[in-house]
Amino acid sequence: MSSMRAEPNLTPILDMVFQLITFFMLVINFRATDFNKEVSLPVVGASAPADEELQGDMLVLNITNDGTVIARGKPQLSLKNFLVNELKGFEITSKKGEEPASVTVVVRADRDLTFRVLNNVMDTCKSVGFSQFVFVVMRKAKQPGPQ
Amino acid sequence: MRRKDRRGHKNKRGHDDVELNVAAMLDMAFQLLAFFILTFTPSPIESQIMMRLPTDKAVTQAPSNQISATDVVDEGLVVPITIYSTPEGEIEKLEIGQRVISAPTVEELLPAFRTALADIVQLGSDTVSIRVGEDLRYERLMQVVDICGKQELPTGERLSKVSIVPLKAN
Repeated sequence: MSSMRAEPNLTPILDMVFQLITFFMLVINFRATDFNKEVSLPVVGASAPADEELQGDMLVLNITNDGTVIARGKPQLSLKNFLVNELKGFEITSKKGEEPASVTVVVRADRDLTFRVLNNVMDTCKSVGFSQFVFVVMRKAKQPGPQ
Repeated sequence: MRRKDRRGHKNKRGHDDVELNVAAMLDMAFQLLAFFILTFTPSPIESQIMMRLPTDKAVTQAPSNQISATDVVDEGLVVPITIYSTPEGEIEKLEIGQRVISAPTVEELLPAFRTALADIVQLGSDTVSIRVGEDLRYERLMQVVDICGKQELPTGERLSKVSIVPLKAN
């Protein structure tokens, strides 16, 4: 008596898995450590001007509503020392002749942060040598209907 | 002797079918899939407002009546905007040059500010200097900055030169 072997066809499931892998590979964000989820970003108006493409290196600073600056995934108690070290790092990795001012400080500050604290952080950045800033905000969803 | 395939047909070439074992590949694919699923963190769509650093340059008042709401510096016309804040961090009132803009609520104040600023920008100013009360909440500041960034200059470009300086208490 002959026994029949049941062989499932794995090709469709393999196709599907590869589709999923492709999707996740495309949407994966390895810079997630730069984005702190404790920070509630400010919400501004809907119709946004086109965002400019950021050129050069970026340094992301998350500022919580109590003024704690979180960068590279951890709170920076001495912001100035941290910035000095970061700037040195950018100068080492930057191409010869490139100005360190091309480093953009990306500020992700909490919506309830006072301007006093924000200004202190900006002044510290400025004193170290950073001169270009980008502020991250959330946009409201566009309302349907006539404006 | 020719071998028969699964359907009972004779294999013309007479050699064995090569069957790729996809189970191993599937194992690896599942490993990869598990990795990507576990490390996946959907991030919200964020927008950016680029800004140049506050300058230490002194701003002087314009003498002209026509552009009384603007200040003049060497490189052109600068619109001075002052945001006064309440201790709670809300906007108390806004000033564009000498012109005071106030409203009972922020929801009414910001559209009034937008309209007033649009009129002034049409006079040819391409730079805005915002003096900010130190207690102002960051969200309110960004709302004002956003309104500035949406202004269209007579040249058709967006107003992009915005600087922020603290408003020192007298």
